[in-house]
Amino acid sequence: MANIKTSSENKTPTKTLPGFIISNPTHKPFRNSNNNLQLLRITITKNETKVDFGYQATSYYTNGGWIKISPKTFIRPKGSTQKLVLTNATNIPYGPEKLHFNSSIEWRYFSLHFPSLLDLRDSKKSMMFESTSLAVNAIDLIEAENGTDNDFNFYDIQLNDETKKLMIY
Amino acid sequence: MPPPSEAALRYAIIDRCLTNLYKPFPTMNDLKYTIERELKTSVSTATIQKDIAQMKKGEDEDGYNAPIKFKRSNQGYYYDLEKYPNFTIRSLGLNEKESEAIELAASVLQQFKGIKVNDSYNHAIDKLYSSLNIKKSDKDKSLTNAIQPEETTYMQGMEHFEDLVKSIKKKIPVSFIHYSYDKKLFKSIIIHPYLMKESNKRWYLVGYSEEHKEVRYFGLDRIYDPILIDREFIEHHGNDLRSLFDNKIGLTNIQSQKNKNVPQEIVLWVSRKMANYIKSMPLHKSQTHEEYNGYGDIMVSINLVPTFELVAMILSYGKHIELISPKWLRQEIEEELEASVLKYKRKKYHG
Repeated sequence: MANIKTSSENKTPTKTLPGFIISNPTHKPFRNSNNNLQLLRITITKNETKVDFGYQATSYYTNGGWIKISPKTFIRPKGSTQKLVLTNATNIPYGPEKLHFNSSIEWRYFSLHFPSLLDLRDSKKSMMFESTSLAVNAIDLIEAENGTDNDFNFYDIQLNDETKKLMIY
Repeated sequence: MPPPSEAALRYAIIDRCLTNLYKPFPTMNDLKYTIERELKTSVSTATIQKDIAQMKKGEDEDGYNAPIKFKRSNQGYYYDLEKYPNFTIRSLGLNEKESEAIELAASVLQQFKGIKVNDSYNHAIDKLYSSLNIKKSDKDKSLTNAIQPEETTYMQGMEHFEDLVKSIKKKIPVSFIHYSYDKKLFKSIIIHPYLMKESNKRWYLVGYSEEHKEVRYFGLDRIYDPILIDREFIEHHGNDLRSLFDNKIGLTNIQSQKNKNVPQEIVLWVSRKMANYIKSMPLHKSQTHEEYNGYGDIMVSINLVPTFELVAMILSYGKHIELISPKWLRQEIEEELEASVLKYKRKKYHG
């Protein structure tokens, strides 16, 4: 642990924890024109990697437009070809089904679920962990390779910025 | 207002039977007869057996830890008073007047039964009723039917209420996603929670926001997916947070105000038609007033941090309340009213 002083360090140094979150992870800018999709938080547990997003409908589209997510969406350790494919999506439908907004002031908080990145850790997979350090430093989240501005593609999402990591209680 | 649950009423009757010194060791038939007579409804033996089993359970299972035993020789039930002297689920030991006062309070609490504050809440209310021995057959003369508080409607985000209160009590920081209605933006927030604050029937989480580096409040309806996190808790060392809200009606400061948390003297003219209402139920505890013209109009003075909720309240009285000072706030209200009048005159949505 570099900069974060957690209560687990103060009280029970050997405490094992159920997982950690990365709040407001840094990543390469998402599209140049629209910032109506925000990558907000990543939760990594032994069971899954959950990525939380917020989407603000815009007046650019009639009645705020729509959203959907491809079931082929995956996360990929940066520089690797290994893909961890979407296992579930909360509050957003799989394409081709769409969630249509009724107006440009509507919004949607949704989550994408992937296999656990802890499976890529150096340490024993089956054990609960005692630190937040991952073997993977950064990932890309790809809805469509070489996609358009409409695809939910995020690159170079940083996972090991200790200032943004927090252990789950 | 819903009455206490049937089960809670049956527990109270069973308890009374088991503590009746004149008729010890009530049999199953005795219990059945008494319950049916008092509740004016039929009840099965199996239900009473289940009730007894439930009463014997611990508090963690919503029971009473009741030491109920069965005596074969009498074929009747009893409390094991050797181990638990004077046991009764009505253990509050209140006299009639006190019971009535608590019953009144409980009936006010009943209004929250409809909202999903806490799964244990409904049970707690039922338990309170049974502890007070309030019978359904009494309901026509009961205080619960004599008062009707305002109904509380369900607010989005109330499902997080219990977890957030727990995090406040245990001093555990929380990560959540917040959506701002004004900015139309999401934020991932880390908060060190201090207080749940209700304002205008909305609940807010008050705490130190790491993002904003100050104490902030967040409406529960805009909070998503809270996660308790293991991180050193930042205590609040300033003034008592509750006192921060003493000088406000509502929570939302008016942005244009320079010293936004400093109370100001706000002077209002109140028409003779509204004066008695404002005198009998002051707008704020700081309110003072003086007669204005001898015809019943009054000048009211309150010492408050100006908020949007205060302005909304003033506007709700229409022509009967006029804000005199401070001038900057009078100007804002004037602009608001002019915009409203303009809107009405345009009749854009007129049928």
